[in-house]
Amino acid sequence: MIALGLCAKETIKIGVVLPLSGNEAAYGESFRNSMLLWQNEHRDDAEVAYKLIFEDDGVQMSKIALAARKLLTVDKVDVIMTACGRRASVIAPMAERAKTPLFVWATWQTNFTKTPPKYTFIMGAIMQPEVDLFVQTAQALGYKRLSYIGWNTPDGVAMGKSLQTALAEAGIEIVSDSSFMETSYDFRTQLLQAREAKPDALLVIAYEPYMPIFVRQWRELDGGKTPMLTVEGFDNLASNELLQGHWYPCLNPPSDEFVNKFKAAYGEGPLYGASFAYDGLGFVDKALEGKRGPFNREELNEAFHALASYDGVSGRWMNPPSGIMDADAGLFLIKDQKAVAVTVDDIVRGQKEEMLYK
Amino acid sequence: MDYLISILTTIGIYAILALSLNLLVGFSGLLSLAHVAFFAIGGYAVAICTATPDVLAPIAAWLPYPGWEPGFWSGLALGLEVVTVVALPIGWVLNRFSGDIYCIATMGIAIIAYTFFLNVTPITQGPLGIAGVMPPTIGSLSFDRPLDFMSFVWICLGLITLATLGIAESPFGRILRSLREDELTIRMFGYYTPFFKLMIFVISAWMAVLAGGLFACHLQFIDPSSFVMNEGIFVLTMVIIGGMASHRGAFLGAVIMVALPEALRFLGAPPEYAAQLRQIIYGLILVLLMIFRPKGILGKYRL
Repeated sequence: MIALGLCAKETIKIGVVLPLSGNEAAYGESFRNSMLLWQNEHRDDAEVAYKLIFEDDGVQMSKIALAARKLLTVDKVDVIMTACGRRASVIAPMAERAKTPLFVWATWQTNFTKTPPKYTFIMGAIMQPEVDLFVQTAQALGYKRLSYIGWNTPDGVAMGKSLQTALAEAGIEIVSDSSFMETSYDFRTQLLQAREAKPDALLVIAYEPYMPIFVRQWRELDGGKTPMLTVEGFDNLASNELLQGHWYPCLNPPSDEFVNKFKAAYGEGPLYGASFAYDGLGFVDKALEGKRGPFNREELNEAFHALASYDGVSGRWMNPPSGIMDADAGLFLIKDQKAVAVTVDDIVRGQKEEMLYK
Repeated sequence: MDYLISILTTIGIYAILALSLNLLVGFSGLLSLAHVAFFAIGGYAVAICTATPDVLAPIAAWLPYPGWEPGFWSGLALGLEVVTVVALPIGWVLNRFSGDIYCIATMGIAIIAYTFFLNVTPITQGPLGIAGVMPPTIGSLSFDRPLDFMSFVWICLGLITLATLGIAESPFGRILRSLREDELTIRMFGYYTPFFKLMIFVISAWMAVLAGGLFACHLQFIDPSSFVMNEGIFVLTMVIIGGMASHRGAFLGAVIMVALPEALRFLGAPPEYAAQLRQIIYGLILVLLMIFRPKGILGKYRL
């Protein structure tokens, strides 16, 4: 009976385009591992069987297109998933044309197609809550002058624009503005330029593998006089002892339980956004709960739109008709090599009690 | 089927690029990495003219055709105009160099072009890229379906192949080959070699513009990451693997470099190792090819 029941499970094929080689491979692997973790945990209890097909794009645009085309037409996947705005810009028009639901994680962009998309779901694109939290905290700490170093990618620029607008409205001046490219690992030129402007703090939009290098080089050049701030970028870096006393806002941070599970399975913590991939699969599974297959892509899309919210390891995802999913932002302080959830008042108190870095 | 069409389209675009680079590297002996810059100009010209034509309003008076309409063809014309203006002085300057220095100088051009497209955000939208690039149309005929677009690319490839064959077999082509072998001797015969080097530099740049325009239409999106130095090396590898100074070689190089990694997707390795395994096998095949066929598969010369 059990065997018959298992055989009767509907199989949904999910194609995933990720950078599994090249200089973004660490992220791709973290996202992939998250999905495999979800699959291993829910293999038995999920009502639907999920076949995950991963394709590497090597961070090359033509390969992104070919990988997506293979998934859509050879593997005939029911759902396609990917990370970051650049990939989504290539895949979204294809997915819309093929009427295949597309999930995009960890992007700050939302416009991937000329017309509003019908089949695209974006997880983690609403940056305003964390931008607001950042500006609020910077104001409360009395910062007036910030040096800015941005990440020269579509997502990095989108975040930079949003942050700089909000900071200007709050009367915080950007006294030095520079950027870095993904191919470089020496940021001393930008950091020296930032230091020359004599800011109250340095704001860097970067992730791993760049962020730890930024922290080290800034400490080396500035001698620990000026704090370094970021949005999201310190997530997963709490164990880096140089980051003691640093604070950061973060959208949909992963739960401790998820981080521990991930560490137990893979020996290292998930990179930022990897929990979205875990939640992406959870969202699909939740949307199909109690429904009977076989499903076509249109039915799947309807089911995904019908799910108004989903409680995942990254918090509660609100799913409006636009498919641009919203969730809460939190403020974190790195203390004793752990990221602790705090309020703006805690940060201000921390500054008075000299718990903050500096 | 669409996947195969997509592979063939990508092969067609890269074959145009490889054939044009072969005129420079293979036939003329000018090791250039600047080709990716001209590829980018074509891509951006078509992307802007089809997706964000408003940015051209301030310079509409200088456009090469009166009463222009947004679209692939106006983008291509704009790309050819821009690349001519850009490639002529660059080629002229590069003519002062030869050998390794020439290669390094062209590398500088590629870096400048990448930085330009990354930073001139009012025109190129910088790292955000340009989405919604439209396919070419001829009258009411639109090449928007994958098969139609692939046919269009291969027609372009056919025309470029004819053009490169024509150039290579012409007296001009023979002078290019002589340039490669011994520039001093050909100068002693009274040929002003900088003119020939400049001409082939500009002609190959025109072809790269076409490839760039088709590339933008194929992806429907472009950003500067498509035009990094690695892309230039990728195309140069096609020419070297296929065999320098061989049209069939350049085409074969494009087939190998595009189709081989795609074929390796079907290895069936576990997802944890599949990407790395593919890269290792891909790299090994290229190394073996260079060991056993140092002149490339169909080539006549070593690099």
